[in-house]
Amino acid sequence: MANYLNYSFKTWCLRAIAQIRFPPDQDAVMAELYAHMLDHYDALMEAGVGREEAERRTLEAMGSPEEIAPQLAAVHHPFWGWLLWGTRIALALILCAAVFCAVPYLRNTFYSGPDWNRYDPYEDTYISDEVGVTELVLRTEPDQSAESDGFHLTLTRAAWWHTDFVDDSQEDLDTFRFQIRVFNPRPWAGRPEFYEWLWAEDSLGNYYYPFYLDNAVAGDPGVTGNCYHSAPFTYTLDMWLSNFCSMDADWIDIHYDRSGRDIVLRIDLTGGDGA
Amino acid sequence: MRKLKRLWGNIPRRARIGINLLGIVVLAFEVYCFLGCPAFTLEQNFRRAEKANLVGPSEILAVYEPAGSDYEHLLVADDGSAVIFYLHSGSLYSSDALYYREKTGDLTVLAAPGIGYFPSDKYVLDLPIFVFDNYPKAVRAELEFTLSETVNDVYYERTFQLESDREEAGWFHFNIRMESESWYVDEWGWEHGTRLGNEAYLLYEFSYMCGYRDSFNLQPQPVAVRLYDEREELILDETVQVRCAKDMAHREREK
Repeated sequence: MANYLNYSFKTWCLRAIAQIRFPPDQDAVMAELYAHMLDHYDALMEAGVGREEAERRTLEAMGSPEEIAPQLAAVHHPFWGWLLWGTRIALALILCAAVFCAVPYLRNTFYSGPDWNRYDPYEDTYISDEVGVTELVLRTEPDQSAESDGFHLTLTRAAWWHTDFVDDSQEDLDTFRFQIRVFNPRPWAGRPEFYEWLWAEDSLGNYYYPFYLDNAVAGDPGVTGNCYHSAPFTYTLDMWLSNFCSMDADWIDIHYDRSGRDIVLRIDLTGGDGA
Repeated sequence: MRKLKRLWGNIPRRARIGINLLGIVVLAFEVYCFLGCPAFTLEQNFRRAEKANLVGPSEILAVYEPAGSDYEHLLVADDGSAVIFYLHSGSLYSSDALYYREKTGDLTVLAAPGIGYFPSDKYVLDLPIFVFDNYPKAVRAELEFTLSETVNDVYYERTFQLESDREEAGWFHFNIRMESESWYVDEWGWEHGTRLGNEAYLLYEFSYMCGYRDSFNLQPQPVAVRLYDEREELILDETVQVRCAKDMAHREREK
């Protein structure tokens, strides 16, 4: 009986969906109609109607499949079906592209190199004890801020190390580093390029050339450094003063003054932690 | 999961299309952001570069499209006290360059970064030179300068004489095009220029002066400038120095 039902109901369904032009919809509509017919059939059987009568009444209640077919075809227009499929494929592709683009971005943001190379120059020195004795002279968090063109600059850390080399033929070395965090909430702001034009002077009048001119003034004090992407919307300028000569100064001012800007960030050399 | 699938299936088809489209827009924006939010126009690119360099805002004077170069555009702008040259690569994978050069009084001579390229087997160098002036009566300008270099004990020298009519108020534009057809490759694979090639190199080095970092070993270059009025009478005959890095460093120190 089940096979017989299967045959008559399915034949009805196949005739009803014949005009639907979107194949995935044909299967879905067919399953829905078939389930609906079986429900109707089961209800009649439970009410005590005989099998053949229940089948006949069910088919009668469903009406003529040729009359329903155009209505079903209109409701299940292929345009919307194909459009849904198109948007699904486009969504899948762009999801892949988003993951593909996000990986290097996130990698650059959260991964700064293998562990063996990850020392914090503000906490420790790279010079080993075998090469020289290094002492911390100053470690400070100036927390100086300035703003220009949508970039928010914060001078977060500074550290000064003095190294006395084991080899007496080498002169003592003073390493002075400072870190500026540059934040801009606009995703299109991009990498700050002005750091090459930062210059510095100390309370004694010593001048440090901007990084951009370092080749021309090799051997003179200068502001040097690099810029890396450290967090979303944030870049970190890891800078140092080459040929440091401000041992007796009270402060060092970091300046940017091109094109009418006037940014000054001060590092106080009299406070902070020292060894 | 099945419940979620059924719930999704109960949503009308057009609403599902709408949700998918919304997802596409959100993810497309994410991709755009991860690609560094590339600008849509040259000016937008330039304005962003200005901000990233903390210079400007400036007035865009001219845009050149150098043929055959790695760069798509050379944009010249003026912020009153300085001139900006902006080399735009037009690619996501190569970076643009912005050169900020302060003016030198009433008369400033600047060579834009040299744009060299190799069409087939020759070397071509286009070198735009600009004279920014405060002499509104001047309608024609002449430039004269001599470039020299000793390479492998061989001395090269060439004098360039250029002239240009004023097209825009406040500045003159000159262009030198030099073609060298005689490059040769030695037995070790090194490329050498012959005399013409070396003269192109002289010009290339001259254009290096625009980027101070690249010109650290160069000396300031004297350039004779002559300005003429409408009656062809000489109103200015002056020799100015095209600044290089050492000169600039000295000036920075004096500030």
